[in-house]
Amino acid sequence: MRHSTAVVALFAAALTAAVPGSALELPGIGTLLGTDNPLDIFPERLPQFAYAGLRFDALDLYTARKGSQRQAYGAWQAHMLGLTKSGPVWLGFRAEAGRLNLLQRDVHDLDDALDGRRDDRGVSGAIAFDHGRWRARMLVGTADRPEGAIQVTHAPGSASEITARAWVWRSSLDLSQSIDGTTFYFPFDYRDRCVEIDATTEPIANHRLIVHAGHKTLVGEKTYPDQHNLLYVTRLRSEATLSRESGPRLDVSGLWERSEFNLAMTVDGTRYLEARDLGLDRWRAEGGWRPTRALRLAAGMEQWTLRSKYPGFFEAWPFTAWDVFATTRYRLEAVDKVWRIRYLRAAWHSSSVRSLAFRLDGRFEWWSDHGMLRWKERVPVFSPFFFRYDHHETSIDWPFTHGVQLDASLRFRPLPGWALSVGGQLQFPFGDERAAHSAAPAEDPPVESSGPTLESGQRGGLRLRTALEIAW
Amino acid sequence: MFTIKGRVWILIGILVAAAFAGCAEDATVPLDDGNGGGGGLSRADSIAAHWMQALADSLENLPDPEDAEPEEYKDVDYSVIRTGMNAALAEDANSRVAHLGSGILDVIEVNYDTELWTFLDSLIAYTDEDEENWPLRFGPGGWTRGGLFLQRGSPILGNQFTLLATAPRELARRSLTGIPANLSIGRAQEILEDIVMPALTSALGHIETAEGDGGPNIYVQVEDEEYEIDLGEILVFDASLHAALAALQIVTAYDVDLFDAGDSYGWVDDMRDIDFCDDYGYTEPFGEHLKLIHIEHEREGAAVGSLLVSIIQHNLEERPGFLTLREARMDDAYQNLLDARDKLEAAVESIRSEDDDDGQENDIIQILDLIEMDDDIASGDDKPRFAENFDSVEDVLDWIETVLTGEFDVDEEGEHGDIEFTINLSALFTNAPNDWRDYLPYHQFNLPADWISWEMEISEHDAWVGEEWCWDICPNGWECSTDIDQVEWHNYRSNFEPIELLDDNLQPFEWDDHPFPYFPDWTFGGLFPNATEDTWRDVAEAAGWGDDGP
Repeated sequence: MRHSTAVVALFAAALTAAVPGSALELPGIGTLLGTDNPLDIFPERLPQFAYAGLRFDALDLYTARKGSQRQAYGAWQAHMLGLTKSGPVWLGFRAEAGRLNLLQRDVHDLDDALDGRRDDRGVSGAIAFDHGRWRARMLVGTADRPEGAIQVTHAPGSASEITARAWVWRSSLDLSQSIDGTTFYFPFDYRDRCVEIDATTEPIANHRLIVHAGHKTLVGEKTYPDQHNLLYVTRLRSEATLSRESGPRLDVSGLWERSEFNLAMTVDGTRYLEARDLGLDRWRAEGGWRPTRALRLAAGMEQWTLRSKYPGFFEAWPFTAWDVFATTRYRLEAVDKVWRIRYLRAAWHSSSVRSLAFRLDGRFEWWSDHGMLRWKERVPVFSPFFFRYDHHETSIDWPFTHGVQLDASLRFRPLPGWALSVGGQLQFPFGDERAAHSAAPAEDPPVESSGPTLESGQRGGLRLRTALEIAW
Repeated sequence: MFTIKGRVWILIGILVAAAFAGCAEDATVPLDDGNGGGGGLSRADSIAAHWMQALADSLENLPDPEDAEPEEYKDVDYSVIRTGMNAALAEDANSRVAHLGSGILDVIEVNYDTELWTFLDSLIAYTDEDEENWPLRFGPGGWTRGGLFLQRGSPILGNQFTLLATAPRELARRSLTGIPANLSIGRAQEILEDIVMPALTSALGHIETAEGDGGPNIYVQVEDEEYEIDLGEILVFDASLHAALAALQIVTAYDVDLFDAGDSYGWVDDMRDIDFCDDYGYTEPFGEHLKLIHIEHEREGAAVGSLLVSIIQHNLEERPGFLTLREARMDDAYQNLLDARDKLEAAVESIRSEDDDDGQENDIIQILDLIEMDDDIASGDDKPRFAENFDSVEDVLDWIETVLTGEFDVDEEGEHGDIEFTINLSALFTNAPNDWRDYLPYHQFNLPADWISWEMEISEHDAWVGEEWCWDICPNGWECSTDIDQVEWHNYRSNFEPIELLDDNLQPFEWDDHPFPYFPDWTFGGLFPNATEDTWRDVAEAAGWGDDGP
């Protein structure tokens, strides 16, 4: 079962990598992958003469320890943007530094280890342009790391807006994995390529429609001399939100989103990983009520459904080149996952103190989910000619049943043109009713041990952000 | 869920249905158009390809050996497929596909030979009895019921040889625990000679023909995937056959039976009956309370050791054939080893030169596999000196040829210096020793009464007030008391010295003066050319042997 555990873990990691930035509302997925929208650094409105902005993000996605077992997935990023007005445009630069750290110790077996690290460093030129109903933002990367992003927005009406956005951004990730004392290296550079369109209509009979369509590709682009690991992930995402406001106090909205993913890894013409047309459907319905101007209460439901259309496969390679004699291979047959969320939501904002603005958005969520991963293992019966397949089925149920999601921010304006923002997002599960109901009776009665107890603890789902902006 | 018998019947049903289906489909097998048409296969090759697929289907349907009962394997019948292959050979005696299928069947059918199964049934029956009688020593699953067959074993040789590889191991295990009267190492050797080795020899003949003219390209469907079998895979199989045959020829070359004075294996039952209470205790009055006397004794280990050594002594001194050549087949084994290497070399060359129109993805062994193996071989910081310049699979094969065919100077780093000697493996085969007893160190057996001497250590411990102590009143179970004031341990340790080493004048010597045995031939029949006592003393010193005493 060693390989099977590894396969499930790796496939789960691949699925996680495929989830879009907004998916599951988990803070920091984009940061983790290095696929956040790079144009986010631009201010909403351009100042009169110049702008300087500094932003720092820290993400603790998950940290856990239990005895010698350790897991830590986290990242930090710092961005700086400077702009000065030069004629009709604003010119400047964007600098970034950041690091992603992945660490696993003894998770699947003793002495197994997984390390990942991505260092983000780069400087790019920044250009901004506002003229009438048109706005444009652009980043152009340095010559040794060609990358760029452009966004054009047109606002034909007072409330309608259409934005087109595209970028090519590059990152590199060094992964190493130790199994049974042997270390394998998976270094790869990858390119994040994205095209998106967002549109918001004018209210028509109290209805507002927000539409999003996007295509995203994450592709490994460099072959190392002694390693040939390439990754290919595509996502086609379309999303529509229709909301209706009834009077000043009640509102309803609906969202439908469909994403399709393709994952593949090909080495020297041989495909080792393939998952074609994984479909992720999402819908959400929410109704809100504003008892006061600053407070909004809401209730909603949403459902995520992940399904595979075609059988895929994952070659368990390269655990060792000598596996060629065992010729064991793995094939992904199907993945099927449904996640339903019911939630109560409260959003409150305050700007009663003139230089302070506070915003708090919290959701209490009940989760129910069910998921199965079906895969088969090719086992040699008569080497090297004949095989059979052992079929396996693994539950990929999320162990928790309810939790809380919080999003809070504070914006402080001490002087005209100065703004200091701090904010945090937190999603943490704290209920596990299913485990209590379905736990099988222990085979052996608990034995009191006089030895030291295992040190354990876990935390995660936290993202903190600070930003300082100065406008002249 | 189906019962085991139910599954066997279903399997039989599938095979019978496959047989009828096969007969019905014979007429629809793609026909040769006389110019290599019909999918590029002749009629004979088409028929054989059909039965290759039937073979793949039946093997695919075999239950997981880890869960299977022996009956599920021994009742499998491949005679229908054999008939199909014979029909293909009758159509064309040179059909490469039919020869490949026949070679594979030769090996597969070994697992279903009646006589072999009778022998294995005896082992299984004895295993079950053993498991029932000795549950504590071996525990549930200590013996693998039915686990002799098709267990995942060496990844290099593949499952088909696991039976052959595990049979001697199983016998060796029995030799430590007891063997029924009809089982012996010699009997196992005869079965290997009568059943297994002829099958491998026949298979080699078929495979040799199958490799002609670049070998066939066969496509086999397993579930929804199609695999290509080509010359590369066939050559690898050929190499594994030669290697397996060489191994069997080696293990059957010498008389290694271990009989007792009654020319039987009854001694293993005697050994199993040895049952002493090595750990037990009793109490004696001690002041107002009790003293616990706790005994630890090594009688059982000493008795087992004595019996084993007495059997070895009997065979060495009373059985002239023991450790002598029973069949002159070491030359054949040597040739098979050379052939295995040559076939592997040809396989690597064939795979590297593949230029498939349909890509490499359906190849079982792919070019990329070899590239990855090259990477593995070339990388590594702690390679032994002989492998420092290895960059590819071919380098390893060249080295194997050097070692097999001539003298090879070993020069490796040891714990305390360089280990240096010369080895000539070919001498082991081409000039095989007639009697391995000629190469044992000079020795004599002590009188059995002097084999064991005992030492006893006594230690004491004052018990806490109210502390509970438990002791085994073997064989009657445990007793506990809190009325113990003192505990006294009696530890009986044995010194086991059945053999006395002699010098080259056949006189006893002091180990402290000469901490090395005297061998009559330091070259071991030319296996280590020019080796002297100094050679081995240097090796022992560099390797750190004897650091912990003789």
